[in-house]
Amino acid sequence: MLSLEFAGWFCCRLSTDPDPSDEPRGVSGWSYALAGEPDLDRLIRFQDAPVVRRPGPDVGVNVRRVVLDGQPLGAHPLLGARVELLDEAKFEGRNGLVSEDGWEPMLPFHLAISGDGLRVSRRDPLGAQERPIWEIEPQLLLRQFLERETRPTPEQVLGAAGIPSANQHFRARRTALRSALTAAQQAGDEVAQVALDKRLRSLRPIEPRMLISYGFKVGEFGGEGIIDGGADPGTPLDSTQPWPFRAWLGAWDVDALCGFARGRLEIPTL
Amino acid sequence: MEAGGFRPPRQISTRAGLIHALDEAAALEHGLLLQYLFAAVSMKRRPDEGLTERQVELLRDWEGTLLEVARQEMAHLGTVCNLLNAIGAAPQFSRPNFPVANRYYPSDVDEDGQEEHLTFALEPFSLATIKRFVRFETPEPEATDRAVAAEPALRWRTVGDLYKQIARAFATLDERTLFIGDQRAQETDDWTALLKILGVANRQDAIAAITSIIEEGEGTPVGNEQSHWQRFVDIRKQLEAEQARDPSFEPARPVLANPLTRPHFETAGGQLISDRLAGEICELHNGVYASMLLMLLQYFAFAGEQDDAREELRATVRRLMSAVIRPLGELLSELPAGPDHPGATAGPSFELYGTISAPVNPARAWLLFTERLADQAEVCDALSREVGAPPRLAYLTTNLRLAAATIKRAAPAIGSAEN
Repeated sequence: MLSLEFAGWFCCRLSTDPDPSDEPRGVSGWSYALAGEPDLDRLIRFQDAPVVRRPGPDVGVNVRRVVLDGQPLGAHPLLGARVELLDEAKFEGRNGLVSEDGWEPMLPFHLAISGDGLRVSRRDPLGAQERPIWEIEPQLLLRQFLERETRPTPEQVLGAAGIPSANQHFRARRTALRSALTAAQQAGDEVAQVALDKRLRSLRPIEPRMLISYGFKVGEFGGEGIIDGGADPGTPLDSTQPWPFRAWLGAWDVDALCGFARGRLEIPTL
Repeated sequence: MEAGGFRPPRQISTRAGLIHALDEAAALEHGLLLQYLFAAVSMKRRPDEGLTERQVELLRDWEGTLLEVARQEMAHLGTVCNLLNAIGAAPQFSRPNFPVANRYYPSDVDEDGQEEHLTFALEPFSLATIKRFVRFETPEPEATDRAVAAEPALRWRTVGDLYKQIARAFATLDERTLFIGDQRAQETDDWTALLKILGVANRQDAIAAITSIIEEGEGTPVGNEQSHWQRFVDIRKQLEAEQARDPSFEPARPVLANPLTRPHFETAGGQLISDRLAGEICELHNGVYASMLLMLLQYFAFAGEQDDAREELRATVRRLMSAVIRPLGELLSELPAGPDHPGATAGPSFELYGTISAPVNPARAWLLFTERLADQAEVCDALSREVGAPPRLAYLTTNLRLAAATIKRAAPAIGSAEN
């Protein structure tokens, strides 16, 4: 089994209840598109955020460790590889019509990990165009999730995200925002002033309890993995067997519209 | 009774009188929240609508406040239904169509000392509109009266005044015989943030619930920064300041006041939407709104459904508010109202085309809900395919189909409810 362990900050510019799930700017929920920013779109971006809010984390989910049959590898084409969700994946909740907060499936689920001359990718047919979402039984959508008791503790979430203290992090963010606002005022930058003022007025502590834990086998309901690129994966990989995927997405930083992702994809070997 | 003539009773002294007053309170809360929602969705939102970024932010704050207050009014409406249930009466979701000129705030007196009524009207956000909202929520000394009889001719100057009369009735009517309602029908869960409905089992609960409604509306004697009244006063002041700073500042889209899809004999005016697409979308909006009211009625009336079915009913109502009703209202405020109204846009009319009532048999009621939502999804789908249709309609079609599927799955079987 080749295990690819990944982690990093992701971006998701999503509206939140009771705003409609397709609300473009954010009004009555607790997330907003700021002055000068594009509309909210709910896309889960593991790479290449369209807007980077400063102060705020750098976005990028990458493979941190490659393990083959229990042995960590010091060198591998997928070490440091970019992890991405393709095809415009979203947290598909629709104000609870699909599922309630914290139980929102990532749809479509099409994972790609691209490293040095090697790329593995696989798409889960569920939630794609094969079947309209209103015809999918809710129980089937819930199969993406791990049980609540398997979720990490808030301390583990913050530890993974590199935040020793949520309170300290929050205070530092507030201080940094105030400094940035002062600089924007001195520069006469009205758009930045409006945006930073909104962030300061809406600032909430990072939320380690708000997380979603996923655990399912990609390919269990059909489809085949794709392994391409010329680099040697070190061992022959099986593209036909399901690929177990386990991850949590949490440490929700609503001020930056970012969260932390940590998980692993396992690819059976031949 | 004064000598020389008949004067209708004023004071609430019987169960029937209390039901009458609570019905009035329900229609009042319902009417208020729709006016707040209408003003909210009429607001401009983007710089390309002639706003600076600072004005966009101001409007976002005001819209957020109006939506939040509207949610609290929804909670008040739910609490009033709990009060009705507690004394053995039916929940109340009926109300007159807009505009309503001669029904509410009947004791208001103008500067010349003449009695007047505050009009209930769907009007775009403006200084005049927010002043009207301030007036709706104004704290004032309670009225006094003296006559006694069954169903009183209520006189009240403010929402708080009406509730104080209701509270007096709860305090004086015999508690042992007043609370005859089915406690299983009481709704006490938080529907969403700031939408907490208070349960009522006895006199103490009833008075606490009414006190909470009054305090959220007009505040307490020592003030309440979060009262509806105070928050509307703040918006009024900010709007006046912004219009002084920028006389060209126009906060709302050119939304038609009191839009209608058809005439209603009981309304005091209104303007017919003449654009076909906008009219059909407005009818769809009214249909989904009525579906939601029917489901609310079923939920509060409690026909013996299992807990999990009730939970799905409640959740679907809540979801429809955010996922369909508000978005349809928002997109209507950007569609042309038609050739009869040059330059104006349409808006959500919240018309009721008939009475809000559901079959007694719960299984048949649920079938009705499923059919309505499925039909409305098909209408939404067809409208989304028209040239010039807002792209958002396709998303809303899926939401309606999801709601219909949820209700269909959770519905009691026809056979199981035949008793």
